[in-house]
Amino acid sequence: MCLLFDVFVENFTILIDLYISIGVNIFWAGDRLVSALSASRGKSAREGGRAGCSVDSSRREFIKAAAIASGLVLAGSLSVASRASTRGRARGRRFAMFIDVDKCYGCYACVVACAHENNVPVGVFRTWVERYVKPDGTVVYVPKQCNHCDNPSCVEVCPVNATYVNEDGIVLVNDDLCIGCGACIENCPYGARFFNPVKGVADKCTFCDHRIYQGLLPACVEACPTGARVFGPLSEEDSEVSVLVRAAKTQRLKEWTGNEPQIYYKDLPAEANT
Amino acid sequence: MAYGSVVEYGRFQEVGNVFPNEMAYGYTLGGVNWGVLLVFYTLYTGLVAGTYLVAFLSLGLNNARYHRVAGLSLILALSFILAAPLFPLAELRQPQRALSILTRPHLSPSETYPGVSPISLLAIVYPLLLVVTILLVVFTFRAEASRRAAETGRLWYKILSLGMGSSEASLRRDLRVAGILVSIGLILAVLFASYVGFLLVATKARVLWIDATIPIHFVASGILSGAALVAIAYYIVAKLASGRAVDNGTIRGLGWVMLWALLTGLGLDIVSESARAYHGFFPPGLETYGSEVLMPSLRVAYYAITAVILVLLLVSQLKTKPWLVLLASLLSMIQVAIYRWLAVIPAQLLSRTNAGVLHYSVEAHEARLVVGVVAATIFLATILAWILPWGSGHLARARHLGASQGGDA
Repeated sequence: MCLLFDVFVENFTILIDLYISIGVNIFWAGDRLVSALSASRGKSAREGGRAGCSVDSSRREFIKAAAIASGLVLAGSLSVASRASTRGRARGRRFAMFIDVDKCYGCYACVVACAHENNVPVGVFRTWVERYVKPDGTVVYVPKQCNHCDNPSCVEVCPVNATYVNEDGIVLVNDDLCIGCGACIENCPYGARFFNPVKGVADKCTFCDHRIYQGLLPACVEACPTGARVFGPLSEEDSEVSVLVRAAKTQRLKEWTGNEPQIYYKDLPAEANT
Repeated sequence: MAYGSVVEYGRFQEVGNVFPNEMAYGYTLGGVNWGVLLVFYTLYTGLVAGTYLVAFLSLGLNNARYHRVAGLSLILALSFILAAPLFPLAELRQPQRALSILTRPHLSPSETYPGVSPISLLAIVYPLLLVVTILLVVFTFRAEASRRAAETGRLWYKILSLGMGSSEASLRRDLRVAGILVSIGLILAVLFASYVGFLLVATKARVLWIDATIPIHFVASGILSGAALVAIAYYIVAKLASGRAVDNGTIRGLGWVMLWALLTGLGLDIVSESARAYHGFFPPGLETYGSEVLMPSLRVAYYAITAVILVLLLVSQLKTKPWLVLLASLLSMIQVAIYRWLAVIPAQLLSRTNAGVLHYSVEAHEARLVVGVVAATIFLATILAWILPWGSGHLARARHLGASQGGDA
């Protein structure tokens, strides 16, 4: 309900802004036109007998004023429209995940919960846990999944706009539009996308969007017995994930790609940064 | 067991650190996302550019050496343009939605859909190229079709003549329009040949695709293969059809185009290999698997064939021996196919972790599709060559006109 209200307020503001800007432009242009017309009339009345000359002059002025006014109206409308097209999709919250690698002990409850919740076929994974063995024999477990990047290279390359970023920064796939070209899968640096062998379209983690918009946590977060995964809106300063990201020294995977991933790791071993 | 070298999936330990979703392809697709079908697609798009260039040399630049093969080049170009999309279409998991690329292309960035998709460029380039090529075919063959319609009374020639005559004035007008169309078409054909290269280069996840020479090399090798194919087709037609002899000047001219394309490609290869050597061949973590991924034996074969082609083409420019160009053409087709394979496949065999390797072998259904599409292309080209009047009479008139217009004929 709160989200709906936010969307309404945002769109309403933009709409008002749009109408006011266009109205001001039209009013100003009309004012210029009226001024030009009255000026030319006054001039022709004053100049009396030199009617032919004044008609030419007033026509020129009128055309000039009309051209300026039309240009301004067009430019103003375009600028407002472009602002509206950008701001119209302005993001609401920014969901992110914090993963404390030290707390993960490789129980795979998150993997199983995800597969169960999202009906993920056998052999492909929306989330998985990597195991690294140190020379001293100790083991490090690193959970991975879609990073819901701020600048997602997978969305960039989709030729039909089947994959998109929603208003809260979650990267999603529209199953009804995906043509199955595999460009997004190739362009994901994290190996988080795959072809769903049942649906025949690109598939990936959705942050359990069907759950979080009902006030629930993603299945993997809920299933984690140690609280290694923390999910929430990073855009809200007092949220748990926001506090943790600020407090801990966190790393993100493959930052060199410029994708701006939104999964923040604590105590990530360098070898796992793949 | 080294730190960071093993992932959970123990049975895949021999491949190093590989993401589990990458291994999933091993079950159904043989290890890579884009396989041999994409290799052939890039080959076809390159052939379009190459055959178009030969047509441009004749119709656009009025170079007499290529008048005999201009019609044949156009027929081949049209056949490849029509057949090329079959490869990616066969690769799609939802081919029934393929037209979405044309109806809702991702060409303008926004917050919801950031960036621009290189595949979407197809939505602009392909329809334009198809329309321009069909118009070009019409304007190139219309006058001759009109003459043949008068001679034979065949319906097809009447349709192709557009109900107009075959006077010298109309032929001149047609050639002028064809000259403009072939220039536009060449630009579109080059874009068509290079856009797949842009698609590969834009892929951040694959370090071996981060090579700016790829799109340019696609065009250069496309021109090489296109000219080679025209030479082969011309040789076959000249040998099979009675009363026609292989024209040495034409074959030599095609050899000249191939030579320049080969040298350009070789130069780009040197740039690419030098850059790789400068960066120590592989980024950290790739040393273990890099050599295997780069397919060294295939790479050696590629350079060896390149050297042989270079020698053959250089000799063919000194001595008038058509078979030298023919041999170079056959080897060029193989060389370009190897290059496309090396450009498309190895980069996908290196895991996105840069610390593991995947395996790929052409699957039976892929091989069947490739054979099917190639057969369909040959069939299409044969039908077009049968119905379109690309014979020497028309070309002789064109040549004569070219000479009277002050060309180099």
